Amino acid sequence: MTTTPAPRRTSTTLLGLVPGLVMLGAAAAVVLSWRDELPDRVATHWDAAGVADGFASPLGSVLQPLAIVVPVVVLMWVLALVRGHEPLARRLLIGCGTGIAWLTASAMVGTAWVQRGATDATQVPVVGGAIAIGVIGGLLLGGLCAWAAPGGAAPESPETAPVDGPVLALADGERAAWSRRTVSPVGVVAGLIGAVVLSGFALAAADPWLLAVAVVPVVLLAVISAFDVTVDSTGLTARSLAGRPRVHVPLDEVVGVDVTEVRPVRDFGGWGYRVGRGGGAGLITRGGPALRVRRTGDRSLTVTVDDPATAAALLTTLTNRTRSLP
Amino acid sequence: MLFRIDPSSVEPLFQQLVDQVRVAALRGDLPPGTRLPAARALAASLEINLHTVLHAYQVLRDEGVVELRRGRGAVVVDRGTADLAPVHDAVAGLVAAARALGLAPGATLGLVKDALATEEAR
Repeated sequence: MTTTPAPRRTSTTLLGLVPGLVMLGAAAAVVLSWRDELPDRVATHWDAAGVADGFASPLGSVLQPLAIVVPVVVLMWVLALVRGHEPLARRLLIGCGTGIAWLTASAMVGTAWVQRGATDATQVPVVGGAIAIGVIGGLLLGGLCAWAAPGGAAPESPETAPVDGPVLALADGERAAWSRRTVSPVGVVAGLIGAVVLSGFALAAADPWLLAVAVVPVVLLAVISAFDVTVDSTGLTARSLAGRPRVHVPLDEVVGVDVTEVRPVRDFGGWGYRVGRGGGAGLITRGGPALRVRRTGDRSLTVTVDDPATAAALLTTLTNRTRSLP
Repeated sequence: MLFRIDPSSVEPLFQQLVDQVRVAALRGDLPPGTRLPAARALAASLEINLHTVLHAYQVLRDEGVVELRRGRGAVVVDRGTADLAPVHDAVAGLVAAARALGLAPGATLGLVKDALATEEAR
């Protein structure tokens, strides 16, 4: 059970909270500065066919998205502070918060921009360009902030006690590596459904920009639906097919190794790279057998993968080999 | 799957890899369609030369155990052959008989190799 707050609070705030609030504030200021040029009823929402179907006053068009997104950005920041022990989890939260803020700010400015001087908001077309800039820019900016966030936890003293558990019989000097691919049926199905639905919307709206937007999440989902899990003399590594994201536990951070059974929704609230009950990180591609590594700094990593017993035994063996040396 | 390399063994490193993959494929531990780790990744994991792994993969391809496809790496082939249970049973019987008579592993292997060579020469 994790009780200590996550490390790196300053960088988390500077990358995950401040830019988002500044962008949202700036977008609101820009839109409000156009107040005199905007129609009394501003279009704020478009249906699947690209026809405006939601309207608000200029002030309301600014306050509505802020009321939704500011709490989301703050929530991401708080989660990163409280549950961000695992660097990747912290980075994802930082990236999501700042990326969502950029997306919202672009949409606010973009939708207001096309309505300057308009008299009838019902005739305003959907602004695929602004959404594309929002999504792609949001991914880039979120990714940049996530990448810029410092990696490892605060330096820990390496673990030196041997690990308990089943081991493999390796001769002195014998090298061993275990590798297995774990594929998420959930990710694959969700990617296919997402591709169909999003392309449907894009075609209905007849906006090629939206089609470009539809491709991005589907490609991302495809990339993170399969991971190669490796145990070798560097430790445990899980790498997506694109090489990134990548999770790594060096041998000198291993405190304990065991095999467990994961129920994704109950234990981790779903699939993907997640923080589970108790604050441990999980790379959850499916339900069933999983390898769990307890590591220094109150952290743990659970990876769902077939044949975790062999992986656990090898990880224990390799870890203890480094610790039995004088 | 688990790969092991013993640098102190007289068996060449690539041969050790070939033997392991071959046995795993025959046993069904590596079902058809399974992708072996990328040669570069496996070489790094085992701290051996990339060309050693590539050599092993090429030998496995020549034996028809895997297919090498650009961009997809080495994929275990569906051999479509009949159930290998009789072979596994015969091997188990041979091992038991050899052990009962105190025959050294090398001598047993020698007999098998000799028998195979004779068969091939016919």
